[in-house]
Amino acid sequence: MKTQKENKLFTENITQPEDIDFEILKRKDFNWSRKNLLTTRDLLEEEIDLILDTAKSFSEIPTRAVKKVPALRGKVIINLFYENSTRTRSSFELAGKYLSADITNFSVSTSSIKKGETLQDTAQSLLQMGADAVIIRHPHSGIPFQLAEFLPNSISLINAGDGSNEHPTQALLDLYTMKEAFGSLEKKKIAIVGDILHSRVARSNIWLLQKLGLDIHLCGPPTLLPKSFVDYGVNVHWSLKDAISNADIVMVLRLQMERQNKGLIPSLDEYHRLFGLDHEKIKLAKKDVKVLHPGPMNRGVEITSNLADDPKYSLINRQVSNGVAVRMALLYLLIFASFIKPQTS
Amino acid sequence: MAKLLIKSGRYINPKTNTDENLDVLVSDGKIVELKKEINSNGATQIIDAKNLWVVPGLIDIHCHLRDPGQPEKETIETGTRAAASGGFTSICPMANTIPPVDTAALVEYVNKTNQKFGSVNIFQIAAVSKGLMQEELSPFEELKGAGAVGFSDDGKPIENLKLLRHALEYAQMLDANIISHAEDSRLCCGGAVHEGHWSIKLGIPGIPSSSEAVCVAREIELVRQTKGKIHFAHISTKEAVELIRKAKADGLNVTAEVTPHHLVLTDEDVQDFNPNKKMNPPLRSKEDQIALIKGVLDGTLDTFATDHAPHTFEEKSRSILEAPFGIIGFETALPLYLEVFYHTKKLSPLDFVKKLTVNPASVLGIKRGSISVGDVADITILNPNLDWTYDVSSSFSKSRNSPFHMRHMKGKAAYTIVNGHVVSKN
Repeated sequence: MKTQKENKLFTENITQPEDIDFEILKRKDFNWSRKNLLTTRDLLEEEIDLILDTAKSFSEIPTRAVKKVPALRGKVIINLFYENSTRTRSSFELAGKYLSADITNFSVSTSSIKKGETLQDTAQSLLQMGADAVIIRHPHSGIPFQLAEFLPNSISLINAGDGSNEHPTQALLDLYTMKEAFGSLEKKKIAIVGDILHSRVARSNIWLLQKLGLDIHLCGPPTLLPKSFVDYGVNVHWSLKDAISNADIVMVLRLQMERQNKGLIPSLDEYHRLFGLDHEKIKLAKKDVKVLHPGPMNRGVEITSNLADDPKYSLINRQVSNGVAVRMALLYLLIFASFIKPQTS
Repeated sequence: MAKLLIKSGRYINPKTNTDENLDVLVSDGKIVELKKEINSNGATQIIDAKNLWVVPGLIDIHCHLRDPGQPEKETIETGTRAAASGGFTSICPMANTIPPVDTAALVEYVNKTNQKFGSVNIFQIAAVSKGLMQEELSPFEELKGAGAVGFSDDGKPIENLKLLRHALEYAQMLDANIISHAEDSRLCCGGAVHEGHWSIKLGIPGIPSSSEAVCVAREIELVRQTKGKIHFAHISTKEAVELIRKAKADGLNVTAEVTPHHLVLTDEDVQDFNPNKKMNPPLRSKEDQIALIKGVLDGTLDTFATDHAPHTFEEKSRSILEAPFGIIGFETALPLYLEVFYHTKKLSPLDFVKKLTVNPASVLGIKRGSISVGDVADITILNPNLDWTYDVSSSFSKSRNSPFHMRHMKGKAAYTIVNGHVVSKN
């Protein structure tokens, strides 16, 4: 339970624009104490609801003529990207800017990270620079968890993708997009198709969607989808037909081209033939099936252009716009949580 | 003449199958008397060993001192001091230094440096192949003459099976062991943790159990053919334990060791992505852990090792994928082995001590591991029940890469005596 004092602090410290529904943050059951978002595994259902509701209230800001509210004015956000990413980085950057935060990029080529700087050094630099939130992407699993150990309570950390481990904001925007399309998702059948073994998007989605009672079916060749995924309470299919039959949602993952060189698949052609989604195969799914893809797409490999661009099925554009809203919500909640309630996540 | 008297201790000497309260008198670096009650007249130093075990100096059959070449990680001076503090009187560093120990001159460097700066005995393991390049055999006879006690390219497996075959053949002339780092370098390539439930859950590239098992299997077949001697380092999988058990039943000259971390930690422990839990072989599953314990109890796994492997703080601050493999272990091995085998009453004190003394001595053919009258006075006096907490910042090692920082321990070396001299007192 929040004390009155904390609630007061919460509203005092920000300049609320009149026309945004911040009521959501003042509601009685609001008890946000999370500082970091590193994984979807530890998210509570109430937290998920609050993130999505907050995202909804923010979602119209980017559609305005003047796309800015002062919710995070005076806050500093640092994009710490150890791996190239245009869309996720831009999505966070815009999310921060729409909320009036100052956001700066700290990318591997322009910093001393490559010169043997340790994570502790990086954490110290972020602190000294006055960051309120740090968004980290790293090619190796676990780095955000290691960095979190060295950051003080005053800095929120958001995992924007670590190796093959997790990409929690992607899963939350996927969830937002699915809810937008379907309303309730309980017992809906989702097929996640592709390189599950190396996919942080798949992992974050599996842990998140499990909490909401979806019927999860994974699909891919055995080299990219070991049978042992059944240990985590999901269904595993090596046949696309089995996976997408009667599905409400099909999430198609990007196939990294180097999988072929590593001997995991014989050829892109064969992959496309067996696992590539097209108008013909999608007929096996429910009539009103929706298709998601985290982007960027390899058109003609995991999905045909025609299907990706077909508004009857595709939610891919919605994912992009919803991504900004969900990230606005997360930045807002996480930064203010650490501001008013210094607890670790 | 200096005379050291160890009073009222529990004397445990597996070589003679003795476990009773005896006083021990040491003179001129040798054990000179063992008796219920030795008169303290004439003793120049007396150690009260009441409630303590007096055992042959512990032998670590597998460690890395990084000397020559990597003084930022460890030196002979700091490494042997850590070993002494952990109760070891003799240690066997591997040859994968920079440069690798593949010539008599380098063995002499190690021994001379140790004479000058070291705290415990070093029995060097020399490289199997020149420069660890797996092309030509290193000069075994010359190396042994300079003091090397075994041969290993540890750090990497010998993929060149023809070379390994010849090593197993040639070493028989010297009655020496080949120590095998058993993994298949292609199967393990790129992996950081055990491939299984946790690697898949956390999206960390895995090292499959088969990487170790296929290598153990093929090397056992080479031993069968050559009738040579092999010692398997750091066995970690249930499959390898089973293969070694069968090889022993077939009468082959095969021995094996285990490390403490594989006995007290599992792959579940890597979920915090702590690079100090990254070692090779990796922390395996619970079933593997149970199989290792069983292997120790039925004698399939002959010896306890540390696989002390220091790395700098900077290296171990990287991601779990980039950080190098290995952890330090001299000061934590004894209490961890006690935890698994003695405090659970799985091994008697005699059988426990055997795995750290007579067995490693016999694997390598070194004249240590016993404290009868006339033996070299390498003695460890330990308190098996001492409660303490390991603080890695106070380690004598130069490195800090331990997953056991702040772990509660039970049991510790009280005195480490090398050649009649107390080299460490805790």
